[in-house]
Amino acid sequence: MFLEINDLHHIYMPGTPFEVKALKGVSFSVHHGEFVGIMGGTGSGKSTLLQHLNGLLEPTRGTVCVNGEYLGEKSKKPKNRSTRSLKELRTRIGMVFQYPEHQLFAENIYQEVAYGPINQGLSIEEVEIRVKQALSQVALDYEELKERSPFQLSGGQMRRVALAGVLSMEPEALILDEPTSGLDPQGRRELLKYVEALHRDKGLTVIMVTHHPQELLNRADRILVVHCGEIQLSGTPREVFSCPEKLKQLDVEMPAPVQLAEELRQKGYPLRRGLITEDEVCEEIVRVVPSLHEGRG
Amino acid sequence: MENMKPLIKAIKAGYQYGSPSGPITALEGVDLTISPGEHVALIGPNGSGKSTLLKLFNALLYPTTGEMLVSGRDTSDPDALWEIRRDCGMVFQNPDNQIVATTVEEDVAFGLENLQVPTAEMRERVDEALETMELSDWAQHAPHLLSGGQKQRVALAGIMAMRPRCLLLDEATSQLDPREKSEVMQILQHLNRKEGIALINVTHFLEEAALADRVIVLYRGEIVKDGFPYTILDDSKELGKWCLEPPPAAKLAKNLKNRDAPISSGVVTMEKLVEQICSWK
Repeated sequence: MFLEINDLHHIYMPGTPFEVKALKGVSFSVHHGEFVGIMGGTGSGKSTLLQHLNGLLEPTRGTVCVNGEYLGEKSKKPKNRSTRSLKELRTRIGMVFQYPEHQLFAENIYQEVAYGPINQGLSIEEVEIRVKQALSQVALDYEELKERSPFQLSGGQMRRVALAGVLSMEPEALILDEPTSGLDPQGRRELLKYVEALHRDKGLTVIMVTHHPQELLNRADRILVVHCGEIQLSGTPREVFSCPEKLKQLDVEMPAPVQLAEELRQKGYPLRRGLITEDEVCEEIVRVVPSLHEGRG
Repeated sequence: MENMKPLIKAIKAGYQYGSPSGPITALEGVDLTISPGEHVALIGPNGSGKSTLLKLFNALLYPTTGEMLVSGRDTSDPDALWEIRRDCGMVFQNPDNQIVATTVEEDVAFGLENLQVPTAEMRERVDEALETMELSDWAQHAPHLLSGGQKQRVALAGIMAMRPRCLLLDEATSQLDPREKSEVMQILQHLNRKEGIALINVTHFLEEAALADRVIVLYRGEIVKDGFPYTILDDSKELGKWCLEPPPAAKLAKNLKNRDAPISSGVVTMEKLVEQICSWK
């Protein structure tokens, strides 16, 4: 098991009038090599949850265990963890924040992508190999770009450089917080393609937060829906997207075909449930709707 | 309507910004007229110049070539600056970047304070703006503890209090969840239809663009298309040239059409699609 979270609670500003219970007993686990999607409305607690996964926050109660090691001083680990092992953990779990391009800082793209591996203490030669590899994983040309300032790139390219800066540490897992927000359709498609390739070919564990159901539809093994600090729904994309009423309550967008089927159902068309792709829903509509209209005369 | 002065008029407007490797052209030769009360969606891939154009509309940037007129005033005229920014209020993508005060009502009053509006009138306008944005119950709350959608409504309320003629929205709903997104869009559409406030919406979500009266496509700094949503957003081949793709409803409509379903062309919203399916004979 790669990640095990047990009865995780997080309270911001406890004991003050501003106390917020952001997580209220979250438990789940993620296997090595799994692709898990996390969905939920704003304020649902998903960002808080994410920050627990590489030790940026400490549990108020409960435990977070990565690869058999417990995170956080307040965890039920016999001895407190040293900061050194936390640092090591963060190289093993690559965290890609929202708008990661805002965190770019280096003079040129080489230095940007090399920053992580240099801090891991790798040799100059090893660092160079890592940088080359990481840039190629996001389809950026090493020779062309290594000397260039990251700030001269387009938004989509800057985001790929930021992703390369995480990949150069050769993490075992990628945690992505809304990785496609602000990108145009082509940029979104490309970014997801790289993530998918890393998952499929390199066996990376992927945990991805998104508001867009179609991004998880054919990619995620499992989807967790967080609402009011709790996991309210989990299962395969098919299982999760087959509950349109529930998704609505949980402030989660449903895939467009599911939404269409649901609206037609509300107009009285008895479409079968559990259909989630465009083809499935359209086939069902063509099967059901005309015959009903004929019946009405 | 005919002799109504345009809200925005761009005459061969262009914008270049400097970079270490020389000037980069973000916009070129933009000729454009937007009338009061229009709802315009501005779409295009990353780097096409959408946000730059929006910033030219309220004098956050000035055109480096050509002219930009807002309510008939040249945006490069320093004396017109405040009026232009009052007429055209901007809402950015990230609500956290545009909140300045410690309570919601103070934040909403910020613009009015700068305009030196008398206290009694300020009170009235703030209350009215809070009510429009359905935030009256939150007036005394600290804005940073609100949800993303609420914060974005606070930002909108701050602009509404200035009684603008036009709202400039720079991906203003992109960080909101679906419920908040539809709440904000509903309020905006209401303001547009009932109060005649023009909306200029920069968005990557073509389902949002489909709600506009007019769609303008920018590509590499130039306007490449300007027309009705139902003609532009339906054409996947052409959209593809600009790195865009049709909204989900248009894709579903096409899929149904390929199955010989009687769907007319130009269906780009879910509402229209449902309507069409229900009227099959």
